[in-house]
Amino acid sequence: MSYRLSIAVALIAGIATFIFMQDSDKQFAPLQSRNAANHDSVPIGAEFIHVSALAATGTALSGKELYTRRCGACHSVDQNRVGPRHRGVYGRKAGSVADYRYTNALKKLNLTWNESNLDRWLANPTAVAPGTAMGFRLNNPSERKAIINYLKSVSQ
Amino acid sequence: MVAKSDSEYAEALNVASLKNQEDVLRLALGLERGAANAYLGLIPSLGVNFHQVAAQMAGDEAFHAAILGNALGEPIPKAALIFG
Repeated sequence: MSYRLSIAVALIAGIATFIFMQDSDKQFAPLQSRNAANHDSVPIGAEFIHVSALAATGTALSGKELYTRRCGACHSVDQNRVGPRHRGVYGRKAGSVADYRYTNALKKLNLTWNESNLDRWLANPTAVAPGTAMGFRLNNPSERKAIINYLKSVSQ
Repeated sequence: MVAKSDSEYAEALNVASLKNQEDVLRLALGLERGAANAYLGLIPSLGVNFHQVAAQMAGDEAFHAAILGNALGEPIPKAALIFG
């Protein structure tokens, strides 16, 4: 008896789930539009989920990708943004991009960027040039090395 | 620091290169990822009273990046520590 009851419950639950899934498409579509407009939380339907575990590589990021992620909020290679542009930075005198407004700390900094001082700079800019506007620190030595190599590559 | 004009911001972000919806989403994703990284990287330079607010803002930016990455069909990162 309990066996038959279990099957019946399972069937009812399955049918109810199927019906809910059918209805949910109708219910969620307007909800998504309404909530998106209001910046509230948005129920995410399966059609919006692009998850592919097979596509997840987990490989180490390249120097270029690291540069984009770690530095890209303030810098770009070819445009002055919050910070100066970086093409040619390796081997360039600090504070010398003509059309960028540097702090006095950088204007007074008498060095030419190389592997050693770029590494110290990325680890702690304030220690290299007290008063600099750059507060970002990159603690990971291997990431610093990869980014410095990328900066070298765009400076040749 | 002198405020930039809208046209200067547009040039700095290379807005002229945006051709379609995906380009806009990719720009936004890069900015959100960059912002999350920037707040995290700033924490060691901030006074202790600002550590928490920087972490909160980094969390917000990471959330925005996750939504944009999903909209663009990016795979879930395999690495446990996404920010290094």
